[in-house]
Amino acid sequence: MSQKTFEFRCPIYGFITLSEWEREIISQPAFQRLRRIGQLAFTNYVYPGAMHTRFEHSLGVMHMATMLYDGIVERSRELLRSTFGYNDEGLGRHRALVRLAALLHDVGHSPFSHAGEEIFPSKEDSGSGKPYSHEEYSAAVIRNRFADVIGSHRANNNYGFTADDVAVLLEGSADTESALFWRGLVTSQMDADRMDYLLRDSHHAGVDYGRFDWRRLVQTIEAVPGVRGGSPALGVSEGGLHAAEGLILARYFMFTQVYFHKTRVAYDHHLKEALKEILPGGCFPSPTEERLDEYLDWDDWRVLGAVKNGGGGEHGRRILDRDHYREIWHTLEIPGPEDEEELREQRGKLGELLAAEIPAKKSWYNTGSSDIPVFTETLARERKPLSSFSSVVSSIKPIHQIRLYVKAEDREKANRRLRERGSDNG
Amino acid sequence: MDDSVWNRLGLICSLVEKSKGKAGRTALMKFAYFLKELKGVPLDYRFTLYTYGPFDSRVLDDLSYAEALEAVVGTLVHFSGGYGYEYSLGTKGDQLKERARDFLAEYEQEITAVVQEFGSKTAGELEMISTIVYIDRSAKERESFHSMDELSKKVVGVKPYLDFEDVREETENLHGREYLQAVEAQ
Repeated sequence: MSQKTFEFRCPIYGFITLSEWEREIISQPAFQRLRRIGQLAFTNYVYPGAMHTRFEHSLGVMHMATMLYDGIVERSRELLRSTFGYNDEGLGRHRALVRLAALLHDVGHSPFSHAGEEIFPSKEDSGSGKPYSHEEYSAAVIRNRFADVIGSHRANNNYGFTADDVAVLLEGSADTESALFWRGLVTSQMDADRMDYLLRDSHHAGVDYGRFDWRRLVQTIEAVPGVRGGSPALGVSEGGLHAAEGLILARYFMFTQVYFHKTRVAYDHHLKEALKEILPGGCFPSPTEERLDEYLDWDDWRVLGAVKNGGGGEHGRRILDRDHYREIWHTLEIPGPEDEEELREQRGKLGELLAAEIPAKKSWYNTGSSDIPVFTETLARERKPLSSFSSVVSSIKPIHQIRLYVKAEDREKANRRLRERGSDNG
Repeated sequence: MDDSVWNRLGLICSLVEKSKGKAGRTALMKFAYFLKELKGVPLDYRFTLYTYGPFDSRVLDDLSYAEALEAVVGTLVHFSGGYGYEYSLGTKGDQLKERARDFLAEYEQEITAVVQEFGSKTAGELEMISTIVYIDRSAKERESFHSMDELSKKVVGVKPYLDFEDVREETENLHGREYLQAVEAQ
């Protein structure tokens, strides 16, 4: 007997269908928490409509991942069978696993999404001293808060999944076994996460920069054979080439016009500093079993409450009063070693007026093993990287800009100092 | 623009130069992985596993940055069944190497060794070797140990299109060079 299904309205796709099992999963408190985590932090201070949450994005990623999965299976069934040994039952099982991984990929997000990530604690126990990533938080939350609803639901009698199966797929671990191939649907240059956030963020922000022909991608995505003994990869047939190009350009436009907006990143800075005041010890609890409840108790609502009550210190006040730092100078988008001297000079001129130095760094498209393979439609069907077809994609340069900010009240004084030639006010 | 960025860009230039124009992007990714994991060079990368082996997009971000600064130049080349890029040093390559001079001097031996040991491998071989190392390191992190057969089986579990005997032979080779940390004494 097939499971009962439930439909959810979605501004991007119309309807998103969930099974009874998946509906129970999203009913868990750790998933409902995503209703209280904004997708884009204080982007709404610049684009007022950008008030959507990780909850609707997570449903959207699951929906998009499923469409992509079905498209790949439709066009590449034979390759998947000969390479990975997938039969119809195996494909059905992996489809269910991909849906769960896509649905749960963000359950570990901190308040205000990526803005809060900068104050994750370091992994002192591992000796690396590196901070935890939000993916590691997600894996920990899945293992500790979804084990029962994944493992014990009667629908799982068809699959025999554990929460660990979902977590390892997100982490990228050998325990994923042959399901690892599908990891690219959740994290790669053409993944469902990226496709959904571009479309959704664009929709809510009220801009068209993030739109691309996703329907064409769904119609042309396929598994492309490996070459020189390498692995098969997720790619597109030649007919999807320009849709793939559109995806890369959409990301470029969204970062330059929305995510890296000079005011938006200033609010990220204020938020990070306010969080340091609000959080005990100045950082989030680590994603260990003992401290996970404490971590999950933090959401946007709680942080905003603390800010409203004055707990965010000077930076919290600036958020409340919309009194953000102002960008006063920035480097070239691609600074070289020769530009370091100019940066030092500007810092020196600003001296005590320099309130924050904020980087904007991103590569738009990487070639190599992660280059989206295009499967030519000639008789000899060859695998060629997208970057070799597209002069637009191969020409987009990465951005590594450093921006200098001052307090609003210091802007005039700072401008005067920068106009002075060769002075040193440090 | 802290030193670690320039050190990583300088490293890419050095790897490209030592590879004499033969290194593709897959090779550079794996060289960075081997330097970090096999040679202990402190690189701020966080590799996770994909079907094509350990991967961190930040390695390619750095390569794109080096390319944008004209420190390295990629050329599209055709090989059997497909296309890829090969890199050579660009006009600003020496400038970036100079900026990372101290770092490159400190790890010169390790960088040279990685290119010598792995520079002639195909992309497929590098994928296999790096996957063996990755799975071994993951086991070590969990304090879980395996025999060479068990390790080889895990690799074939992830990459079912690989031949078990080929993987077993490479595992033995890596073990003989003391690159594996979670293989139990036989």
